[in-house]
Amino acid sequence: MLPTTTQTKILVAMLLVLVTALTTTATLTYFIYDRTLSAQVGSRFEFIARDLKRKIEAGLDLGLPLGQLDNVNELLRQELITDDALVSLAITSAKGVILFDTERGNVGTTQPGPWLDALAQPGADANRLLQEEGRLTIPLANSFGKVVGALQVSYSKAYYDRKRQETLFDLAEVTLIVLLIGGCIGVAGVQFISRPLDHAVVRLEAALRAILLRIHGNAAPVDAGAEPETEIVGFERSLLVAVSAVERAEVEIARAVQPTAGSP
Amino acid sequence: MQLFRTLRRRLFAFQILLLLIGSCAVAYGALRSFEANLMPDLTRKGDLIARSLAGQMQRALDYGVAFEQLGGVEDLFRSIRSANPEILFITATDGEGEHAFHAGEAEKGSVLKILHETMPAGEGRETHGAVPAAGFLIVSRPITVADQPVGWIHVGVDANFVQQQLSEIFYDILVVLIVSLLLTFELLLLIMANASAPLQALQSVFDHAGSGDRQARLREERWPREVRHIALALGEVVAWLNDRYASLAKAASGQGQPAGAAHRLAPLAEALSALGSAAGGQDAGRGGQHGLVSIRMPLFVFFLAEELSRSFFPLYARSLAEPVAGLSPEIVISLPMMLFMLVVAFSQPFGGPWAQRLGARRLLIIGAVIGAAGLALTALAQSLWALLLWRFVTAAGYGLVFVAGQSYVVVNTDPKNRAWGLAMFVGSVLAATICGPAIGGILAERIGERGTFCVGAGLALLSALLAAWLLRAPRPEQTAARVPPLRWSDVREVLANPRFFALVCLGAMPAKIILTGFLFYLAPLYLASLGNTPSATGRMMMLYGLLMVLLTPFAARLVDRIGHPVLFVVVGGLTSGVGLLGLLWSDGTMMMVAAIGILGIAQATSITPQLALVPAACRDECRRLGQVTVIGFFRLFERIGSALGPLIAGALLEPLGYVATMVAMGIGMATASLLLGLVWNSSERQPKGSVPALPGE
Repeated sequence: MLPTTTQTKILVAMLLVLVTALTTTATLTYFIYDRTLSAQVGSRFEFIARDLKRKIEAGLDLGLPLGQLDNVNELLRQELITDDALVSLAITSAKGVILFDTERGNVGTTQPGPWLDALAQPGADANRLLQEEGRLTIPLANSFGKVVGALQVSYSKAYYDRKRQETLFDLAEVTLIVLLIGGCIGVAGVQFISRPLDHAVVRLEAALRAILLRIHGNAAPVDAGAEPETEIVGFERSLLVAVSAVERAEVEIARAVQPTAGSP
Repeated sequence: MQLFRTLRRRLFAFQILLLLIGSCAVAYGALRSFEANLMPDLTRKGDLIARSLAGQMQRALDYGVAFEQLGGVEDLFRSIRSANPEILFITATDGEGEHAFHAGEAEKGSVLKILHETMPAGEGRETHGAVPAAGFLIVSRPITVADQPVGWIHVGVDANFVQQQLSEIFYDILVVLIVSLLLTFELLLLIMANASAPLQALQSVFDHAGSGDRQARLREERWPREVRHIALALGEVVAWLNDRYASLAKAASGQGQPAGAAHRLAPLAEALSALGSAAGGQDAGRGGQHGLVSIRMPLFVFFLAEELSRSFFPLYARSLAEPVAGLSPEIVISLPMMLFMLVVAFSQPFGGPWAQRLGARRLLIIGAVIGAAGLALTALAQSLWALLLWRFVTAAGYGLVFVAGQSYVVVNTDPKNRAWGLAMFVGSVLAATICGPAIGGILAERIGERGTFCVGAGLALLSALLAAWLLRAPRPEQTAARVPPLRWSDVREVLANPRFFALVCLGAMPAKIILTGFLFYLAPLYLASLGNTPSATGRMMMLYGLLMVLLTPFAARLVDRIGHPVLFVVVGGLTSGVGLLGLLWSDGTMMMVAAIGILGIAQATSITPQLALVPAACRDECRRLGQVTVIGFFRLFERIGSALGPLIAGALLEPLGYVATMVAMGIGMATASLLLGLVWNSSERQPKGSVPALPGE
């Protein structure tokens, strides 16, 4: 067990506050990073979704049914290769059947999900973006405003999780380094600042030991010495003066009392 | 002792420096890391926009429209910019750079100049990355017709976007720093009080020379481990001195001894007295400092637990509110707050006897545990009625802790150092008022309101543990002074005094009504309606506590020097009222910050002088019932004002709306203050000076 001294207590308290403050700062900073990254991710894929929607709806405006649009597969494929965080791009009918998909195997299958209910609602907003974990869905409407299907943009969550993890490690490393440096400076600073207290305690202990030996008759008189006048030295001197005063008073009273005690 | 005070000051300054440099280093390191991590995503998005726009313009140009005749281009640019705040400009130039479409914060001319300087025409401006220039990261894409470039799209991304996003952390760091420093201050106070305990106890022994019990205590006390051996050695020396002095005194004053013998004890008595002064130094009369400092930490932690919900409590109450026949929703929201204040108000007269019966330490532990249970159950409340019930429980715990704290101060002080003891107590309440709302706001934003109540419950439990660990059980002779029971006939008698009545109804109660009605009830609701997050609201509310702490001692000294406390009460009341009138000029967030700041300054000016007026207004009543009882009644009415505040604000809110309600409360406060001045001046002149502030909310 560590020896408990005032200095140790001060050090532990100050380091505890330092660790708490710096880790809290780091955590709050990370929260802001996370929010900024999420906003960036969201807005980038939202831009991709709206840009593709505009291009596909331009085709719908010509009066073609969604499933019969030309070049949609090529358009989706081109878009997919421009961003390595994109996983797949798909176009579904209003009933959720996949009409085009960069993952060919999915074409013809039905994609259930809450987005389908949102699209099925009468008067659904054709510009409303539905966000799910790792996927954005935006309705596709013809020139009359009727929702005829939806575009789904799926992106890699792992890509951004990796980014988050990297940043978290970076931040932890920075915080740890600052804490180590701060801790070293803290230890040195507390040692330096509390030196007078340490010195005072050692001195007071020594003085008390000597006084105890003296009052029990085992040692020579102690002297406060030529130390600079501090409160502890002053107290120690007062203690010595009091002990000496007792000793003097004992001698003097004994002397004053003796003749009286001896008289008849 | 001066040694401990100097050390505390130096260590505190050192910790400020360490925390400041540490926090800045972490924030700077984080910024560098975030920039490196986010910049590729930012420029990638800029590139995406540039590519999309280039494609759209290309299609239009494919139809044979001349570049300079393209329509709606700048509107398109503007719509893209409005959805992407990090894009500072979008510019399209033709091949020669003569015609340009532009939308952005930066002026067209300056952007074109930058583009000419950084990307001269004909040098293959297409970039796969971004070119940094004049605070922008510029991404360019060519507009091609028949595979020939006929123009360029340039998208300027804000190079300082990440830095700007992180700039809001500045306020959070500031909050963390302030809280950390307050915590450091409390810890250093406690550690230093422990370290200086034996010398202060020794001083107390010499202050009460002849009391054998106190000398025995120096040997028997449960000392902190780090000073135990010094305390025991001191105890042994003191016992030796005491025994010798007693036997010498007996020998010298015995029958038949010469008169000169007794005189020989004089230098010894002088030396012992000097020893007492040397031990106590400038802290003479503060023998109970160690005990008093020990109670600060549990009190601070407990009050912090309750203050955590200050910035969002009305919003939480609104989320659970349900229709109550005959009451508007606004009044319903105010009910939990009103109930809490009312229970705390009546805990004082009814909790006093409990402090006598159980002792302050046990009452504090019981109160903290009840408070913890109340806060935990508040987090689980699913209806308005459950919320009301659990707020009642929390308020009961709060009231018991409050009474226990006051009782502990009274038991551990004497009339000489009671004002200092009460200042210690008030210090812990105010420190919690500063930290609580800001930290609570940050927590509510991250872990939710219910989670924050749970953290509060944990803190309240921690305060019970701290109380059990740090506080000493009272010795038999340490019992609180008997608290006289509340007698309504006495209340009637005091209220019959027109000056006391005026002081209560026109000074104290309006001040508390505006505090709880405006700051605790309306401000969180209104600031949230303006789009402020709980952490921003908490930071704004923190301003009130900060100004109170900084300015109250200054205002008290000023009152002592100038006199005329009623002038300070009237000016303070008028100022807090006028501060709210500013909302007529502007009803935005900044004006709310100003109103909160002005309220802090105004209440710091008027709270202490209000107490000084009580004995002046009730000379006869103070003689008959005692000053403590009369001031106790004053505090009771003041707290009833605290309970009325949310209710009045809620009642006004439905018909008037936020701004008009706050303005109406301001007008009411200013009018009441003016009336108080008139009523007071119409009677006799007041004596100068103030009395030390008693702890309040």
